[in-house]
Amino acid sequence: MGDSHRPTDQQKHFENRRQPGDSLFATIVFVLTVFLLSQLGTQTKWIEGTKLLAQPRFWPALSLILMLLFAAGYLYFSLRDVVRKNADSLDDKLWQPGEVLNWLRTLEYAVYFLIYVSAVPKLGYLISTLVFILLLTFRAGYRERRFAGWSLVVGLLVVILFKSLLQVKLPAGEIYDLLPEAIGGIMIRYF
Amino acid sequence: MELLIEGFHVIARLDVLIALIIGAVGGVIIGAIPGVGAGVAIAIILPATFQFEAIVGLTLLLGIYGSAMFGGAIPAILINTPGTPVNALTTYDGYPMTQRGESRRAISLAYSSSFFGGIFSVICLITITPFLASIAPLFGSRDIFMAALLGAILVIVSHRGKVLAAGMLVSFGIFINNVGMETINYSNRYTFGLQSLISGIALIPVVIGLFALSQAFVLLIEKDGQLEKLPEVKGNLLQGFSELFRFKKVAFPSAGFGVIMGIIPGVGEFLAQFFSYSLARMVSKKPERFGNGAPDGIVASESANNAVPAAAMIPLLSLGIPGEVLTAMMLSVFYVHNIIPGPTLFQTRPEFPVSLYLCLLVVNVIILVFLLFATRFIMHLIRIPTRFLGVCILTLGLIGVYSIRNSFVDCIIGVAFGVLGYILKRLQLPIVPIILGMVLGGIMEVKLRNSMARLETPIDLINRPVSGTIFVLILIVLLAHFYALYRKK
Repeated sequence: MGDSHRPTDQQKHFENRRQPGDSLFATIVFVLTVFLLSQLGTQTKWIEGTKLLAQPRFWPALSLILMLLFAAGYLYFSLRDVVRKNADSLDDKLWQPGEVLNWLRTLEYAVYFLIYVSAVPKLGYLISTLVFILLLTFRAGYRERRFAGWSLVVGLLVVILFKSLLQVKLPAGEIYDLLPEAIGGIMIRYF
Repeated sequence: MELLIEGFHVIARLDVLIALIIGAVGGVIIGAIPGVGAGVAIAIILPATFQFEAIVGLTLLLGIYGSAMFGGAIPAILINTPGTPVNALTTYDGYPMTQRGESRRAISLAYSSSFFGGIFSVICLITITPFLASIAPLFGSRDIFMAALLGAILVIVSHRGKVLAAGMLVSFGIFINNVGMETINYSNRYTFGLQSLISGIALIPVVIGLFALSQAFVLLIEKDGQLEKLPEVKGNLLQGFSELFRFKKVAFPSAGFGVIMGIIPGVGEFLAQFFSYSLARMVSKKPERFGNGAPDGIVASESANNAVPAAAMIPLLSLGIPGEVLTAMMLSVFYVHNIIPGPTLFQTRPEFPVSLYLCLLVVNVIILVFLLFATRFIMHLIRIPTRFLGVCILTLGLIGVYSIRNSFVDCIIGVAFGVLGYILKRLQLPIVPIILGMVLGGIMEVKLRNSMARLETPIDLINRPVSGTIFVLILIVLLAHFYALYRKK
């Protein structure tokens, strides 16, 4: 099984060990919070004659001020660990821009997912799902026929369970309009 | 007694029973597959439950919630990989027992301890319910505001060693709950002129992003591990019950810890099992066996874990405040059906919480029966390759995020939070505070607004018996936290 399941990872729930990219993340959050706070005047309203606690501005301001304080503390301790190079709590790779590449790897799958979502109203849930799961299985590195078969079975089961049986609300595919009326009706309703 | 009978009538309905069985069996299977877990499953299936009656939808979710940890013990014991994160401590003693050729004994002890923990906590709940019903009318808006504030503070301080990060993420959760048009003065907050943000950032895309999509990314990006050969599990799996009786001095306090930790918002299974395991080791005559295959270690962690789900329903049902993320997800089912959990629920529909408790009771029985027959089948699911699981979760993610209102914007929000969740997991930072920040922030804003007419000075917030008591509790929690920090130095 993959590394993320290893018990050592679970033990870290009770530990405080900084990971690569920690300071970078802390910096990004801090800068983002400062930006959001700087927009408070334009992005929220202050209504004259209304109590402070009932102002529309009150909760965004409070949450952002708290976020700024916590983010500042988090950034301070993260950078302090970098400076101190404490072997117990600091990995050599702490300030590692390479970690950003790891974060960016998610974008590939995020884009695939959004393409899948965009395809549903055009191709319908059944076709979109089968094509998506098959291609994603291939992209994940499974080239054997049995995985292609399994992915199609899973895709079909997902569609039958959620669309055919549970009637989850999803748009009907435009492609179904091209089918004869009776078949198209069934496809729109169940697939 | 009348309430119990009414509760039994509710859960005897065919649709409720079917939901219960599907939830329980599905939860065990999901729990047994490392890398999925109840959080991912509930996040995906949550919107699909909105079309059912509240009791049916909640029963399904409770079934998954109450059973995932049962299943999670199987890979923890057999291949040293916890099925759900909260089965981590079970690996310490379960896997060494497997290596000694005692896998059947370890699994049967895990089942009996989990069953005991689950039943113990439900009995506690049923006992507490009349008391809850009697004090429910004492809770007003100010009291619930203070309780939500206490919950938010507990969420932060319970992340030991990561308090600043947890505080930052809770505040972020409160902030994103503010985005969109507020409904009192109809002014936009942080929409940046985008029409699509006026309706706000809904909880469900955030939950699905943080739990399901982020986990799909994790699984897709990491490499498949070597598939290990599974040990044989032959023999009577009921034998653990007689052995459990020998460890009653471990089982009772552990389940008790589970109940207490489940009730306290923001604490949950991790601390429950941690405390129980430490206590069991402390009182053991042979503490050196812990971590090397001590059966009482399994009893401690599994009894504590499984006592939490039922107890976690207490703050949700009695105050409308979810103490952890799975109950936060369930809260949305209540809202969709216009059932407001909290003090009035015990006055207006007391049979509703009782039937949920009974569901949890029945779930434990269903799971046990299922596991006695299906353990060998479930063992094969452990071998599903990691990245293929990621493929399946990403495919299922569409159901969760797109079916709510067929909104592409929701999908973009879900994906954005999926990426954020992935980064947080890489950094080993918690994702739960964001969800609880969103939910508790929303409750605090509404309750504070409802209290405005009675608030002349800030003292008015805490001059009621309940809110005053909660305020004292907040002070104690904060003092204890700062004292612990001081002692650490």
